[in-house]
Amino acid sequence: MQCERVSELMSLHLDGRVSDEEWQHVDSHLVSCPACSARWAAFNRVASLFEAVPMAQPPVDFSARLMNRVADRRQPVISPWRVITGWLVLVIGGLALTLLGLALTWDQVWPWLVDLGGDLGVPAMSSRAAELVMNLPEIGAAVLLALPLPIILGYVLVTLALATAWVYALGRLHFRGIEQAS
Amino acid sequence: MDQERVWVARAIAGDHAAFANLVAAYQGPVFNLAYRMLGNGGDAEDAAQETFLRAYDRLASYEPDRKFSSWILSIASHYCIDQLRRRRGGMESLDDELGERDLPAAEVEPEEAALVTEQEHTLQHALNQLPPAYRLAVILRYWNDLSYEEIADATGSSVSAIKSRLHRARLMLAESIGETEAHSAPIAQPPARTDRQAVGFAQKGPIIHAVRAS
Repeated sequence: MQCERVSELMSLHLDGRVSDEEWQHVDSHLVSCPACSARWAAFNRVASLFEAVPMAQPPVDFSARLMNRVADRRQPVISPWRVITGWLVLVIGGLALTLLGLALTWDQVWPWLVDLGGDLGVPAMSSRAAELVMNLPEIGAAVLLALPLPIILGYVLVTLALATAWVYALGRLHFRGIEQAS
Repeated sequence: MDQERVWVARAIAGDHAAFANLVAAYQGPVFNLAYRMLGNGGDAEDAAQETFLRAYDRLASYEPDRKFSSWILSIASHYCIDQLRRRRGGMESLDDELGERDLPAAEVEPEEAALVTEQEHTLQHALNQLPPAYRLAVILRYWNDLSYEEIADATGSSVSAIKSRLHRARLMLAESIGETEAHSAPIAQPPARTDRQAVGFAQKGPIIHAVRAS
């Protein structure tokens, strides 16, 4: 074993990062190499010196003085950009998810809305307009199917990524809310 | 750990008592890091105060997944390295691997000097000879008992860089401590031999024997 490698292993061993097996090789080298053996003793001398010297302690009024300075400081603030982007992601994600939900359930939701409108006496929902709105998903589907597959796939991926970002942002806002409330 | 999270959250919400709890828990490690890095009590206190003020200002950006100790020691580390760089006029960086040895010696004030034990003086003197990045690694390893991974995290370096810094720091400390103790040894001892070992640092017989005996 080369002395340079032994020296590295000795340093690692002092930090508990050498296996017993590997250390046995070092140990047998130390018996036959006075230079490495002396170095090992010197490394241990360094370690015992660190053990003998305690942490330096701050002055007794350290904390009081620091807290006086803290009191003069304004409260830490969350950067406004974080707040703005957070809310933007939240709103866009919410809209996207609502639209997705509506698109999937439009067949059921729209007649129900028309009935509700009738019950409440809302006159605006003429049957032509109702028909047009009813057909919107079909028009959308026709447009989508006319597009090349990669674009549709890309769109799906982007939607998924946005939805993931949205869930993540929601989780973080929620987490902060809990932390501040506690 | 959970207690710390609550303290951090309350401090962000403006609760000074919660921040005072964090200060009480970490003022020792932070002050010691600053003292060992900068070498004197006055600069160390300034650095420790500045570390906590920075932490206070940045509390909102603290990631709760990270250990608070690593975070606060990382702020202290960067501040101290910055101070040392200013002393030297802009040469040093955390990733500086050059073995510069001619750092300004620590100014130990007389009243402090009276208090420090001889061992502490020897160790601090040897630490002052190390390049700041090496000094930082051994301080975090020995006094703060951080793992290689935690030191890498606190200093923004790789684990392999930390491994190498600790090794070289030990070589330099061994040499420096050996020299100091040889100089302070009784005159009756034979003069230290001038031949250096091929392995790279001077061996002073008496010290080695003293260690073996202990």
